[in-house]
Amino acid sequence: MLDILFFTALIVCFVAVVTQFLALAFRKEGLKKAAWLVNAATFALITAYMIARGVTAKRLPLSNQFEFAVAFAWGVALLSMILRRTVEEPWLGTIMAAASFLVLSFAALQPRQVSELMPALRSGWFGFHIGSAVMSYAAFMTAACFAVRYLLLVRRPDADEERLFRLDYYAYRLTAFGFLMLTVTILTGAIWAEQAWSAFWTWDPKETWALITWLIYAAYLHLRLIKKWQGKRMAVFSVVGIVCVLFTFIGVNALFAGLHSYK
Amino acid sequence: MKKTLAFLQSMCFGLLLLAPLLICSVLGSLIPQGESEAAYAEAYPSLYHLILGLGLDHIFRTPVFLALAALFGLNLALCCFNQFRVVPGREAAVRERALRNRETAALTEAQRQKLMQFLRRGLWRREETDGKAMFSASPLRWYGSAVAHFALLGILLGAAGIFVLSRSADYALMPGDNALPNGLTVRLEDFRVSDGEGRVDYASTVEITDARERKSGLRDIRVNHPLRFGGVKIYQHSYGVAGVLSVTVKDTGETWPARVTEPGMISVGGPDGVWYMTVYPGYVADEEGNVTPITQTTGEYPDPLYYLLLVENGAMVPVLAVPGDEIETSDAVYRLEAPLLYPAIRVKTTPVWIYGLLYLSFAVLVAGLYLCFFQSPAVVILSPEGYTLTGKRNDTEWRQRLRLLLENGGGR
Repeated sequence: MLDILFFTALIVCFVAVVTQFLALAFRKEGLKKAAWLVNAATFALITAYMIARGVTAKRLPLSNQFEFAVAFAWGVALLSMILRRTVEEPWLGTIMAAASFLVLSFAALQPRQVSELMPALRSGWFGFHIGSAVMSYAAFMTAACFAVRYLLLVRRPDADEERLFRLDYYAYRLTAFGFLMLTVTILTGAIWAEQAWSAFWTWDPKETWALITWLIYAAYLHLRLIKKWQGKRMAVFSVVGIVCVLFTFIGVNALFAGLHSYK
Repeated sequence: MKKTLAFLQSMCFGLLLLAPLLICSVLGSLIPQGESEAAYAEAYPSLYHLILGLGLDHIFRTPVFLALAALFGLNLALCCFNQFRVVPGREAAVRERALRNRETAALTEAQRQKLMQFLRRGLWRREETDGKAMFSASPLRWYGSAVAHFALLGILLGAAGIFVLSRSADYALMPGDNALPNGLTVRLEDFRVSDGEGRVDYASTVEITDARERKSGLRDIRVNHPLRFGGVKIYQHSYGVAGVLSVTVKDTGETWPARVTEPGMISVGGPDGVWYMTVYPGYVADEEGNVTPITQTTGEYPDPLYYLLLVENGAMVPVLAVPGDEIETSDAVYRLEAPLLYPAIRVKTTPVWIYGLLYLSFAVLVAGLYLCFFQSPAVVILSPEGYTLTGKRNDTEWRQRLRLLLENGGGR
């Protein structure tokens, strides 16, 4: 039953990407509405899946690579819904739906069985630490989608300054939100690690790469706020940042063994 | 001197330091840390001399990394003290600039209402000057960046405090054993690998007695639930399994128990005996009686299988045996018993002020970042002609936010 719900969400997410693409390619209002509905259906299905899995497992569904990836895709879909009215930018919804679909597809490749929470994860910090990581990754991914749209638009000679300004500004706001959430992730993780493993910081590969990601986004925000960098340079920075986020999420688990190896 | 100080506190210096810190961090994640020399020689046959020579096997404790971190701390310290120094003057300067600002943007009535509502909701302070309404953000907002930097400095100081003052030691204890850390006596009463409902849960029951003979009573320690007593924190750190054998000497009939945690020889003094290798948590036997050990475990040993070498007459013969089996040599009988699970507990001493400093810095950092990114300061003057906006030097943040707010209701 859970699998059926998950793969329905995956398929509907793919349909959302295709519908969004067709709506923009053919510029049909009816298709645009349909695309929005399919997008909302994707979000609803992922939400339903997470609730069902949580009820089955009797805990927050955030304990392994699969569950985190589903929550990550849910976060991107949530931000896409929130920002839809605020930023009415063609193709942005398509890019975000595609990002959500790719993350869900990665989840589909992971083991999906519901397992008992291991002792190290049974803590009050579990929800705060992993929940903030989900929101942080989702915000960075959404910021990168804005940055990609910016980079595609800025190449056009007739690019509208107002649209570029809007994309650049929201990419920054999302990055700032993601940075705040990543800070919460690292700090709650440190407090939790002290309780579980007796040390606030152990230079575990996941911790180290979370710190590297934090430093990269700290540099982004300093350059933006102090040096007043904007536009193309910041968009490129945002794309580099999301590569680092994805490496922290996928690469570190695939390449290194450590205290965060929850397969 | 002034130039040097200005450089040391500059963002440019901070970013310059970030590059080598990032490189060290990447190397530290690529190269496993704290392994034995033999492990590096095996994993990196052509590079291990370089790895060991440069200290890449413990990169986060090398003088180079610590010096970089110290310089980064210095940069942070100078930067945040400078920020606290200049903020009051900056706030006054912005208010003065705001009064001189003539870049008035026109407002429709609807936009005026929207802006007023926004300022009221954000608790902006209102003052009347020359028939104009001057709104300034809460004074706290001016300190967002300084507060965040100050908190980071607190975290670095806390980390340095732990590096210098915190001590920890691990003790492997069998039930009934005592450990004697820091003038305390820690007695292990019991160790379990599952809770009452059958879930895996590593828990030790211990009793601690301090130097003044005060007792903690029997207390459970488990993962995520350390015990604080007598100025130390005691953690359920890991666990191991000991092979248990009853050794009976043939000549005298004397019997004594042997608990072994590492591979090694057990004998009654002569050249013959058994060499303990390991104990597996379970095994699978096929129809022909071939036995395949199960090596993975979450802690339970439901069907233990011993792997031993029988040492007799100078020869070593591999033996697989289960509890209850007996192995006989020329001078003794070795009866295998159920293996014994035992914990390793970690005893850590860290001054309480370090915890206080770190927890306070964590909370302050989050608050500072929130102020910095979502509550940056500005002064808005509303007049019948429209509004003027004055932020920090070269600030575009509020300009963008108000523009989006007034144009389409966005810009949260």
